[in-house]
Amino acid sequence: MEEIPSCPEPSSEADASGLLVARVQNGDRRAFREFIEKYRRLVAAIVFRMVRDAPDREELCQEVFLKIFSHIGRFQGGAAVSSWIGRIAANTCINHLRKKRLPLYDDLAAGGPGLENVAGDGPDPGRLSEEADLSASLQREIERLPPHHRLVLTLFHFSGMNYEEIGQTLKMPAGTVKSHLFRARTRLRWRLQPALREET
Amino acid sequence: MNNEHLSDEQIMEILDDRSRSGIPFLPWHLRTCCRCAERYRAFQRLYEGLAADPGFDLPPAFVDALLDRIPEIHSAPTRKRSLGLALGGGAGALAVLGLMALADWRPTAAATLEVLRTLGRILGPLPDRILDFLAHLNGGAEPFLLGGAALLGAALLDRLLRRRFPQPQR
Repeated sequence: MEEIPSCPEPSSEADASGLLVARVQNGDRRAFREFIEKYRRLVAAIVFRMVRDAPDREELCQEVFLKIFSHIGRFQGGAAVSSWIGRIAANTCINHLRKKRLPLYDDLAAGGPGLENVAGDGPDPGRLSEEADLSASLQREIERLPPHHRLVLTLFHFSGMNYEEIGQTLKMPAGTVKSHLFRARTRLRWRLQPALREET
Repeated sequence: MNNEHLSDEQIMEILDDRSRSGIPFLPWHLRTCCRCAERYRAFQRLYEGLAADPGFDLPPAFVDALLDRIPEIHSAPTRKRSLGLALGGGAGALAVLGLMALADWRPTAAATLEVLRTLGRILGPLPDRILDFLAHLNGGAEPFLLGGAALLGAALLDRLLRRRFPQPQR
């Protein structure tokens, strides 16, 4: 059976990240550039997933990095750098959505729609089997998920945060995070079923 | 041996555990049941897709635009601190001047001078006493002095190296 990578951030990578953070903490100008280059895609992934308004996205990414740099002196390294950045990016996006009065939990009323309701919600899953590129289909289907599902998926799979860390960020119990993750993945699996099966 | 098929939730729990803890645990049923193994592989592919870079990126000018804004962060607290120090110092000086103008400080000043004179009487002969002690040792102090200098040098070197090669904070 095919193996998947076991650890999101190997220790040598963690050491390199810690060293880079220490250089930024010491005010090394070159380290700032390296830091931004290294984590821009992570920040962009979270912001772009959460915010649909294109002009706001770049400004929000800048805001995230400015927050990171203004608080980096207090970073103690207890958590992975990517988790810490993920938390700041997620909170910045949540505040932005609140300010703009955009919904974060747009289908959570009465527990949200059951998975059985999802079937009639999207395109025919059979159509997806015609699409060769699973990755493109996946990205498109993620975009169709509610914002909080997009956020938990990005924080868990791309930022490397665990249930507890995501729960602390979103101020919800770890069990709720797990349930959102399961629900989001089950939706995706259902919608991408033909493509996923095709590739196996 | 358990022949019950695994639920989607159980499969996701296994994959979550594997991706976080790296424990290569697979239930026996998954190794033997083709149906569950196929569902497991489908989820595994989904996980790989979710962990892949979605390809969002920022324009190349983003880094320079951001770096231009970074001095704001570092200069702002410094400016605030300088302003705070200046205001605090000024207020303190004004308070002292006010107290001096209102109160009679002559007895306090006299007592302070007396304390200083006493300290001078005690500490004054100290350098002479140290020199006497060293002379008494008749060259035996050299190892102590050399050891002290070596320790001081090592401490300075350590400080320099720490500045040049900062350690990651854990």
